[in-house]
Amino acid sequence: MSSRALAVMSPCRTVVALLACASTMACEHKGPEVSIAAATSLRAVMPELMHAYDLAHPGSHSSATYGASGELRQQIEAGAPVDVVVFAGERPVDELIKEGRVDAASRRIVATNELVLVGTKGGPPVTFETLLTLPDGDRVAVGDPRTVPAGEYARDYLSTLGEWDALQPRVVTGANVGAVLVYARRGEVAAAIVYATELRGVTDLVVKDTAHGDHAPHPKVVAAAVHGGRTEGAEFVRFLSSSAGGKILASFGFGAP
Amino acid sequence: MMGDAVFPVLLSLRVAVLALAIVAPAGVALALTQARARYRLRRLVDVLILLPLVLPPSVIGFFLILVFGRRGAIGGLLDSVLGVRLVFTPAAAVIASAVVAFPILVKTVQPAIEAVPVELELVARTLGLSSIAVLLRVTLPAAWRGVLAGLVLGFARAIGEFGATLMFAGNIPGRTNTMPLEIFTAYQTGDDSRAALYVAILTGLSVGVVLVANSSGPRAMSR
Amino acid sequence: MTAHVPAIDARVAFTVGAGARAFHVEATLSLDSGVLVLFGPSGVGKTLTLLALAGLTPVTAGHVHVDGVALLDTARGRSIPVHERRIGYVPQSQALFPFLDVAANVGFGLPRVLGRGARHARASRTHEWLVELGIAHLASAYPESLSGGERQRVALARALAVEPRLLLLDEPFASIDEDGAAALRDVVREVIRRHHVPAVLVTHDVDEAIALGDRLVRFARGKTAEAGDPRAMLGRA
Repeated sequence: MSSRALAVMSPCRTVVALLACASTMACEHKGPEVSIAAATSLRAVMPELMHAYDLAHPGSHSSATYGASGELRQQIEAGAPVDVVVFAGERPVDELIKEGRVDAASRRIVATNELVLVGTKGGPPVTFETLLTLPDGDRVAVGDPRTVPAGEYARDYLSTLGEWDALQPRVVTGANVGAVLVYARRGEVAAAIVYATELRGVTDLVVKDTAHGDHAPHPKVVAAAVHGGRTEGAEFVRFLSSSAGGKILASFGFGAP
Repeated sequence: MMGDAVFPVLLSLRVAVLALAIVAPAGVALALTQARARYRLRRLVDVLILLPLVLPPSVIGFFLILVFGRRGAIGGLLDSVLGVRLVFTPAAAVIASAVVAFPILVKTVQPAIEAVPVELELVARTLGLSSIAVLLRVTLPAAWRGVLAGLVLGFARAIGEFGATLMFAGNIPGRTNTMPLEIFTAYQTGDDSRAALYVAILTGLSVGVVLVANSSGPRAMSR
Repeated sequence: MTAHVPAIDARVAFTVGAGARAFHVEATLSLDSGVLVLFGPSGVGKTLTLLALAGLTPVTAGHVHVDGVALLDTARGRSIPVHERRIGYVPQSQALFPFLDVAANVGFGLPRVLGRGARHARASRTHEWLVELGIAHLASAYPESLSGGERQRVALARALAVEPRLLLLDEPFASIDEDGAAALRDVVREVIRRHHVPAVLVTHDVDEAIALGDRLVRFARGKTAEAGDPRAMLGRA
């Protein structure tokens, strides 16, 4: 190639390379990548897990997006480029398996959680059973049962207590469990139903009651690798199931699988 | 379930009509003021009117919660004095829709009024009308096309509100789930046929709005 | 013997605009009866003076007496508001209400004069004026479909229907072709005479001034100068 042609090509090449870089956002790093879609309830523990994973797999770089499990499921159905899902319930994962989006063989339950009723510190006592006795105008925040597993658990539990329908006028739904927690912290609602793990590091709220009894839900954290994603996805699931991953999850308040 | 499929339609219509009922008189009055009066803070008021048009809806939602939330300046007052809580109510949806519809209405009506020749108003005064009567019986009728366009565009914006409504009124089934919010939920839960229903309704409404607004653009009055 | 009351006795001084673009007007007008012509090129303050007489622009100092009634007297702090002065104003652009038909335009000021309930009286007075100005056949037409001459007649009928004590005409024939203007001139003169309405007519056209004016006052750079008989002043026998 003539030197003139080269001179013209270099700046063009640079521009094209930069554009390619910008669009993939993967230019800095040359090692294996893991892209994770995680339930909002994992937003505190996931950075720790990712850090530990990257240390154990030198050269690796993991990243996560958070949202309500139902919302994330929708995005993956639409083809979002994700390698592994870590959801707060079994249903969204199983639905993705049914649609052939997620690899059934890689599916693991990696942790468990508890459903709790929280309210402001110093506020009046209230339990799951006494929700209907709250003063008029006092509201209860719950995840949207259609898209948030915590909300689905709450609905099912309150239904077995025979309270769900009567509670409807007071119920305020949040788009994810983080939003539900925020409503409680802002004082917009008198009580909120979230996971026990949500209270870690939160000082202005206290647990008023824990779901118990035969019909208490058993929230599970379920991970699986996405079909067509990188093989590192399955590796990440294995890491979550390992004792190292389990230790980190336990330190954040999650129960053993 | 027919009942709860119809609810978002009725809710959206109610919210938009109420929002317009609030916004129309205030907006038209403000458009008249900005078009005809010259006062010192006029530029500042112009900017304030335009603000909700330019602010991202999530920012508007945030400000609404800041002001009207339980711990907000106005919300706290409403709660302690009247026991009224606005967040997560249909009233909140009305407020959010009113806030975003307001600048569109004012900015559509104002040029129409400015295009009304002042002489029409001067003559009407000599014929015995008071200043208010002139505004109501001459200025506004002369600008009717622009007023109609403003109302219709304001209605469209009100019924299409999403971001601020989601934050301030929430997306609570059976209470504050307007059509735009329902489309989002239906999409997220994979209920495409339900989403399609509301998409069709809102698209039809929007087409109607555009047709009306386009045929009644603020035209300069001919001699 | 009754004291003779002049139709117009006015003296107004005011400024419009500010700073470098300020324009001062000082006008002295007097008319025993008939038509007073304000004569001069455009931009010298004639229209502003009409507005001042009507009360449509504020006056710093002066007085306006029409038929002995003090519409304005700054020395005594008296000023009758515009909508109570009963002055008919026909601006240069006619300013017909585009959203009303001709009949509704002409009858616009009648509810205040005849009462809102007197629908029959208002309809018949409207009709009389339409006939008098030769536009009865246009009663249901809308302003946008009328010619310049027709619009001018509607504007005149509208101003006269409320029986004003003074009529103000701003270049009424400017937007009309030659033939139409001549016909309209005759109509205007007739109507004013028949109803004994004093009028102030603004024009820069010599023929018009002579044909219609009983008295003429020259205008130059915001100030009235000499006044007298139109023919004598404009050099025609």
